[in-house]
Amino acid sequence: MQLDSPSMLAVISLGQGAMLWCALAALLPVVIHFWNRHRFEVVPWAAMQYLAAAIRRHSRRLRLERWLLLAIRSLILLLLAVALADPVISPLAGLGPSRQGNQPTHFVLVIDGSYSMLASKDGQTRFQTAIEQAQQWIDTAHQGDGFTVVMMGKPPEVIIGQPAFDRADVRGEIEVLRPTHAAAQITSTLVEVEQLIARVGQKHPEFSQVQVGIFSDLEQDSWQPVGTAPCRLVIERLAEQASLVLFDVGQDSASNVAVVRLEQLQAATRSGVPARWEGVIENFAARPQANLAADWSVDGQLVQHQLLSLAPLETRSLQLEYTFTAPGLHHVELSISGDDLEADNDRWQVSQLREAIQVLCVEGRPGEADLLELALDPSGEASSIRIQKVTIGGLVDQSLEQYQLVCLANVARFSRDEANLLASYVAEGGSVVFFLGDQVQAENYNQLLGVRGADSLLPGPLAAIAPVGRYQLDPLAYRHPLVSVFRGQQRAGLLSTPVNSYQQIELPGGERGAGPQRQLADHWEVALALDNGDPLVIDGQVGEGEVFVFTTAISSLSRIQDGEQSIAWSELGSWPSFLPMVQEMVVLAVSRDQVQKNVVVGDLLRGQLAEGTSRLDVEIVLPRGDVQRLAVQDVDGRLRWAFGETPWGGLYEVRNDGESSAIDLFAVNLDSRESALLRIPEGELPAALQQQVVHLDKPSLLDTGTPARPLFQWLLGTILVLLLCESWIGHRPGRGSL
Amino acid sequence: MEDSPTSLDPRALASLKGLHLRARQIVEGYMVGLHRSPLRGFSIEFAEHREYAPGDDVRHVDWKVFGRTDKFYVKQYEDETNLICYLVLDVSESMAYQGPGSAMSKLEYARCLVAAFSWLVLQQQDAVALATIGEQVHDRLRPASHPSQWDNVLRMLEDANPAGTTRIGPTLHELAERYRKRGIVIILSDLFAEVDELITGLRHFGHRRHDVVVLEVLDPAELDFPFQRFSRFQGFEQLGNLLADPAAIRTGYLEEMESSRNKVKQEIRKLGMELVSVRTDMPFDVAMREFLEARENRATMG
Repeated sequence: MQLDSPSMLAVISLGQGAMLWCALAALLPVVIHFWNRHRFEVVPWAAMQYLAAAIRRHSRRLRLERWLLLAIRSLILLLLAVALADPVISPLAGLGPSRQGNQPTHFVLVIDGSYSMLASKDGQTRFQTAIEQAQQWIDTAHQGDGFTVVMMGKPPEVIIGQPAFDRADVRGEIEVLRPTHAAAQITSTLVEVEQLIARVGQKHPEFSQVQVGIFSDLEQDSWQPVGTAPCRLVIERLAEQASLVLFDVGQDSASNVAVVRLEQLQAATRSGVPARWEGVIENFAARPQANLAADWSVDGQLVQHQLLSLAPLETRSLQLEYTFTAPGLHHVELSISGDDLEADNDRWQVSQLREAIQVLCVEGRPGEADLLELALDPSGEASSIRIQKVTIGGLVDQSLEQYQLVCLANVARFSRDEANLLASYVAEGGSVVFFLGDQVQAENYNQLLGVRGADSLLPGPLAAIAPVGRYQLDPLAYRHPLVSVFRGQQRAGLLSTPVNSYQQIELPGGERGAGPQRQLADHWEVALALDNGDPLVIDGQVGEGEVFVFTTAISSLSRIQDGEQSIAWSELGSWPSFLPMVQEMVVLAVSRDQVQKNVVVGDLLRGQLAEGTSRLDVEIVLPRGDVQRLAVQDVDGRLRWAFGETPWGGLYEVRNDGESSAIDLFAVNLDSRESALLRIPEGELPAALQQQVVHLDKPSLLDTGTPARPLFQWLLGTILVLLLCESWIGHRPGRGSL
Repeated sequence: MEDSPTSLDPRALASLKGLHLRARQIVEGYMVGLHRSPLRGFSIEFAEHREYAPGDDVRHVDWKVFGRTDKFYVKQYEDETNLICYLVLDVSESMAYQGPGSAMSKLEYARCLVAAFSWLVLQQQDAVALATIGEQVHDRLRPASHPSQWDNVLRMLEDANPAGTTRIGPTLHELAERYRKRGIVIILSDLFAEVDELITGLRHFGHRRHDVVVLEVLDPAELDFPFQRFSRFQGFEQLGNLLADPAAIRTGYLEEMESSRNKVKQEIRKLGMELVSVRTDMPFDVAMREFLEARENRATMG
């Protein structure tokens, strides 16, 4: 029910409209009055002339008093009924008009929980401002309105999925919310909101309208998707079923410096070998930053401290070289301090230095991997690399998880089980190298390794064997890490490596040899090519793992007829360039081994317990020191665990239950794309979002959040005054009573 | 007004059957401890001196004679031993009113007083006359001083039934014409009559040089108007009915009543007469004391 007048500029709405039926009680005094006039006492009376004279003289006053009392008594009951209906007065200006009528409304609060909301100004973060705004918005609601809350993050989180009707509860619920270190995902959040509205609409048909309030700093990078077609479609669909209000809590003049990247340039394959890291610090502010402290820590110990001066918008790269003295889990941290946003001032990198690198060499026939073994461990001391050589028949007996690298040298064919074993090993982060050769049955490879879509272990179907020739190598500008060590080292022999034949690969697009790089899927890269354009070494990021395909053979056992003469496919295995390439491959494999330990906020952490463990759960120590217990699951005979609650940047340590030493360590870093703290220009927002925008820096519009005021107290006050009037008129001294 | 009923309380007397018993009770109860009749010594013309005897009122001692003779003489008046007390009782319909808290009606109360007065007068060998009036003179008893006169008085009182309206003024005229010999005229009425007519009638008694005392008899309900609930007031004397909220009209009623009574009182005082008000819940001794105090005051002033 709505009692409004165009001139009032306010809406009086009733929380309990049904209580207005009580207003009929206002008729009671009238009924009682007339009823009493028919129910009188008969009094014989002698002094009639005085009574008649009194009535004659005071009749006008008596009638006035009678009707006044009647009106007051009726009004008291009427106001009481209105008070019971819980009327609320709301401002009609600003956001008020978007609400039509006083039908129950479903309020959806979408609160940006990304880390840019942690930027502070005058001691208050944007998130705190957003919560205050949201609470003011809640106060504009009426009795009977319901609230749901969605936090915009990665992924979006539904905080209140079923409508809550108690405003105090909702206020309390959002008060304890904290932003995460994730970036905002606007599209998936709005899709979630759309689904939420649909779900609530089905269960609560009483909501005749929906208002969606989005409280965000409109950080440019996160909001950029609103310009894309899918996001625009969602917004248009939302605008059709809901009124959208955008609360902009961002500031234009934020100053931020962030550690935007930290990565290991070179992994250490054994203790005593230096490893290198690179950190990138970026000044996003339009003013210079002087005396910025940048600290490198290894395993929690400060190892390097330097003061930086950054020009406006400057990006500075810093490097650390450090030699681990003992194997195990290590972590490196680069941190800075002193700006508006602290969340992006640290990054971590976890390195695992194993006691020995385990390599499995599978030979198609004995001797195929001899040169490879030599290249892997040229000193022969086998101190840091342990090589296990098997024939293809022994592959299925191996537990591949223990190896950092699996090399397959001229294996003729695979069984389905062997192919699946390799595929799952790669999918979970393993590194596999295929050295092709004269035994390779292309059809078998293509059927079992090459038909797995994005998870295919081959960049394309194997085609024919290239005719004998004197093929020259093309290093492709030494871009790939595998060959980058040869840059400037022309005499190292890379380009002179004799290649007589190779296995041709049919690259997607079907135009073999015509610019292979352009024909490959995104996750494949040609590391080394031949002068005819065919790839010689291809590197692919498959699943969590990595695959290298050498299209030629590395042993002289693979032969091809050159006229009457049988010659080897290539001399690659015995050429000087092979050893550096294999060593780089080991470094890449070790780095790959660490990829899973360095993830971004919101990613899944997972691992498995060593064989022979009988534990049922592990403990995860979160960056803030909280400990969570996690159940271990038996998957195909392996004890695995997975943990998805990684909204905070920092180190996540995995321990066996009750033990203090870590069995695993993960670095979770935030996605620094929000660190620029730029706001998306309002003009780039879809029209549906531009209709109602509340800016923090425009107080006039902030007034729209004026809370609705309950009239209950005022009505009770008026009733009290009327009761006093009634009492005075009915029993005033002049009226007389005994 | 006493809180606890005494032998002279109307509530106690109401239980006594017959006017005779009630009157005797009043008189005997009231006379206890009195040395002399309260109705002696009405001011008429001076006749002679006689020697002072114990019990005589010292106010009547002639101090000039005492100065000359050194002996106490009191003034003897002409009619002192030959008093006529004219009792006039209003028996109009309004006198039948008996309020919710009253033990007897105004008429019953007034009858008791009349009976008591007449007994007192007859006791001192004086003559009593009685008239019952309403729209006209209903009944009349000639003055007589013999003891059987009291029986006549009582009989007439018992026969007097309330009827008709109070038109006391013209009736008083008629009576004043008949009461030629001077005496004390005691009129008992609720005075619910036209004030001007009443005063005119009283004035006629004044012309006859009667000593007039008006006893206004009212029910407590008529003075306090204690009603609360919405009521229909049924009028006596064909005055019709009135529907009213007593709480709303009380003040107005009391003002009207007070105003009218004040006017009557003033007019009566102007005539040199006395007005004594009694309520029917007053013990009779109190009522008689009020009456006699008024008499005493008047005698002093005279």
